[in-house]
Formats: sequence, structure tokens, C-alpha cells
Amino acid sequence: MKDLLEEFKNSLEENGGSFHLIEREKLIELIMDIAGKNDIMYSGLDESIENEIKKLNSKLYPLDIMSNEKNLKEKIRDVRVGITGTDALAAESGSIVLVDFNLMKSFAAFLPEIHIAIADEKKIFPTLLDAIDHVMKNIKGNASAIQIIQGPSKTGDIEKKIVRPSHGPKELHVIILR
Amino acid sequence: MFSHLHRRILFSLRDDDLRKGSKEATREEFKNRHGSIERHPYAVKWAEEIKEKKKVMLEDPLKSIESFRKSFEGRGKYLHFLRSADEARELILNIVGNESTVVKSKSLVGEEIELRHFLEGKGVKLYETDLGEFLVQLVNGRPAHMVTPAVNMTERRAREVLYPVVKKRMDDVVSMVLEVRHFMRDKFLSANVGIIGANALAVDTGSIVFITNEGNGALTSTLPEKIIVITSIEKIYPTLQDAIKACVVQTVYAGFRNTTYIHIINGVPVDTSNGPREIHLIMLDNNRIRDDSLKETLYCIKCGSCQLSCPIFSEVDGSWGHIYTAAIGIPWTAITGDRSIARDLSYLCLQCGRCREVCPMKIDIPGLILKIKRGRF
Repeated sequence: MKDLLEEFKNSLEENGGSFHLIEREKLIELIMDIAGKNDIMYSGLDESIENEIKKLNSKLYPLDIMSNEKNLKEKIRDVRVGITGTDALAAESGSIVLVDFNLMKSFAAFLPEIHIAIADEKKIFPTLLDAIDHVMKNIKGNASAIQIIQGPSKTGDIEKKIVRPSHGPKELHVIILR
Repeated sequence: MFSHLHRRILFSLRDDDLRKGSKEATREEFKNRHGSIERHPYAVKWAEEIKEKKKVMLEDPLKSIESFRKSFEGRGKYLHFLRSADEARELILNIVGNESTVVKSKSLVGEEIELRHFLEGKGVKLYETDLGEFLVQLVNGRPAHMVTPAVNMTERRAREVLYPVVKKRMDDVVSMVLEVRHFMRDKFLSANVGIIGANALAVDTGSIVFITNEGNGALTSTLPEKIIVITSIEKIYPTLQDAIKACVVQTVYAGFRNTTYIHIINGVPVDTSNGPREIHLIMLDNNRIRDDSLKETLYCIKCGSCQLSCPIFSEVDGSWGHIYTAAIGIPWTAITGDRSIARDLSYLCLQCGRCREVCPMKIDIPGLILKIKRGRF
């Protein structure tokens, strides 16, 4: 497990993401550190984590509850931070995998400037194929999308110079809870 | 026709900016590709594996399409198998409607059927959301390269092209990208239709798999009410694992150490009134099934390594081609486009064989081009 975490950390950082391995009780402090006073939208979090997030001073957008609101997209267009759960991690490629039913995890992961993905260390797998195999075997019902994220948004379209971000988040933080 | 090609190449050779752009982009291709293969050494074996899978799927393409249809179709999901570019364009216009705003991410099959020109001609407001494609759209041109369409555009040229649209001062590439992000955000949020391409389709799960770096594909495929996926018959793989392997091989051989996003679309979302209600998959044949002599072309996963390693491409870039350019672009042109154009293009090939050396699918590209040169196809 320790080796996998180390490998994941290296791959994620190589991809331009930030790695955090913390004790559960430090979670809120770390989120405050990353998010500052910005508004936060979130989807697919464990209830206990959600309850803690509610203690934050930021304006919160619980997307799974808001998913049927007609003008949702307009409401969240300027929200700068998105927090999601994580369904699997792959060490070799530094990937996180999100299984999405209502697409709210996708909204929280792709629309904001900062994406924070919270993961359980038990969900780490050696390779991307192992991680996908795991989520496919454990999906209950019809997931409309599975998103594999391997770093913050980037483009290399002008003279192959890599620039971050392009249309997605500028920062990707993966927080792994021990 | 040949004189037309000749003129375009001469024009491109005299354009210092274009030549600088191409040289910059192709200079590091060897180092980039070797670096990415070293980082992901298994990609070499995966390339062999997916070639075998493709061979099997292409033995009976109609059967493969039907097996994919069976697992794909369901609530809100439609597969349209179309034989010609004309049919595909008309059907897409029908689904889009004239009044729509469309956000589009990169699709080579979309280029193949000149979809953007067609829809814009019908009054549809369409925005290419991939930065390179957007630059190409603004100059009303065609992509020079399969993975990096504006490969031949320098920073200076890109700024000149973007300025009339974003109307902001842009000192460097970072500020250009940022201004495009701001400009495009409104389009993403207001578009009713999203058009995307697919890198691979998986029969076992009925999934559509595609990759992007910018995140534009994520927004294009999740925000609008209607999604149109344009793809072609050679993208079908037996399993989701194969489909993901194909995406990774394409990235690695394109010379990238990673692709930021791999998106897997399985259906329309549940328990929400946001996001897509309909997903239309356009499965285009466009002469792929009928063609026999150039069949090997269909193993191509469009990584573009053959183009970047071609000594002629680094001199004349996108002017060497009509829609598909250089190297494997020549047999692609022969199959999906005009045979006489392909024949004109074939004469510029040196038969040096570099493309065959770098191709992950080990396609005998010089052999295919030679067939075209001799008119034996």
C-alpha cells in the first residue's frame, strides 16, 4: 500500500496535480487552506465528509440535491471550487476515476478552477486497467459517465507549449484519507 | 489539380511563419515519442494487442457494428449507421436544427465530412472548443495535423488570429489560453448541442471513449441537452479495456507522457434535469468497408506520429493534403475522399519509410502510398 501511494504521488505530481495524504481530522483545515473563502460545489461525498464540509464558512452548492434545478448551470458558473469523492485511483498513471450517475461529479470536477478529489487509500490500484476493472465490477445501476482524470486541464496547441489551465481546472488536489 | 497542390505548397514554403511553426513542432518529435514510450513501456505491447483486436473486428465490420449497437442502444441513445458523408451531414443537421448553438470538440471524422463548413453554411452557430481547432476555424482553414491541428501556427500568428474575437491584450500563450477560456465559457453554458468525436467504442459495455487534454470534451459532453458523437467503423473494440488501451497507445505515440482526461460515456444521466437527454452516435462508413486494397489504413489510430516524422511534412506541413494530410493521410484521402487528389499527393512521398518505423500499428504506409502512386487501388 505504501509503495502504491508513493507511486501514485509521483505520477500525479508529474501530471501537474497536488498530492495530500492526511489524517481524517485534518480534512477541513486542508480544504480551507486550498479553497480559501471561495464558493464550493460538491458531489458524491460520503455523508460524514459532507457534514464536515457544512461547517465551512464558504457558500456551498450541494449539487446532488440541486441536480433537478432548472437554472443550475447559471447558478454554479462562477463557483471556483469543486469537491468530489473518488471511486478509484491508479498508481502507475496518477489517475483518479469518478463514476458519475447524474453528471454532478462531472460538473464539480470540470467547471471550477480548483478541483479537490477526496479518496480513501483503500481505493488505490496499481494500474488504470485495474482501477477500471474494479469500478466496472462494483457499479450498481447505469453510470452515465466514467471520468478518468490525470492532472489539471492543459493545452499544447500553440507551438506545443504546455499551458495550464485550458477549459478545465487550473489545480487538481487529490486528498487521500488514511 | 496537381498544379493547385503545387501552388499551395509553394505558398506554404514562402511563408516564414508557417515554416517556423512546423519546424518547431516537428523538431522534438523523436525525443517526445521516445520519452513517452519509456515512461509507459507497456504501450508497445498494447499497440500489438489492439491491432489484433482491430483485425478481428474489421473482418466483418457490419457484424461488429450490430454487436456494438446491441449493447449501446437504450434510453436516450441512438446509433445511426450511415454510408456516405452526405447522408451523415444531412442527418446531423436534422438533429441539430438550424437555430442551435453548437459547441464542438475535436473530431477527425467531423473534418472528413467537412461538418463545420456545412453546418455554418446552414446558419448554425458552431464553436470549435479545442484551442487548435478554434484557431483553424478562425482562419477558416483545415487542420494541419491529426493531434495538434494548428501545429504550423506560431505564437505571433495565433495572437493575430485571436485578437479580433477576444479583443483583449494577450502578452503570451498563457494569456491567450485564458482569454479563450473566458470567451468559450458562455458558449459551453448556452449551447443546446455538443458535438464530439470518439477514440474508441467498446462492445462489452456499450461505451464511447474519448480523450482530451483541455477539458473541452468534458464540458461539451456534459452540459448541452443533445450530444452527437461522430465516429467511424474502425473504432469498435471488443472490450472497454481494449478501448482504453487504444487511447493510451494513441497518446503515447503522439509523444505525450499523458492525456489529461479519458472520458467514458455510457448513457444519459439519471435523476437530474441537467445534462444531455439524447446521445446520437453517427457511425460513418464513407467507403471504408468497400475499399479492399488499402484496408490496412483502417488499423490507424490517428496518433499522427507518421506525420511528425515525415521529412516532407516538416517542410510543407498541412499544405500536403486535402483533409487528411501527409503520410497515412494519403491513403485516408484515397479511401474517404477524392482518389485523384490522393494520387497527386502520393507523388511527393520519398518512400523513405520513416513513417512505417514509427507507426504503432506497423502499417506499411509507404507500401500503401506506392499502390496509390501506381493507381493500383
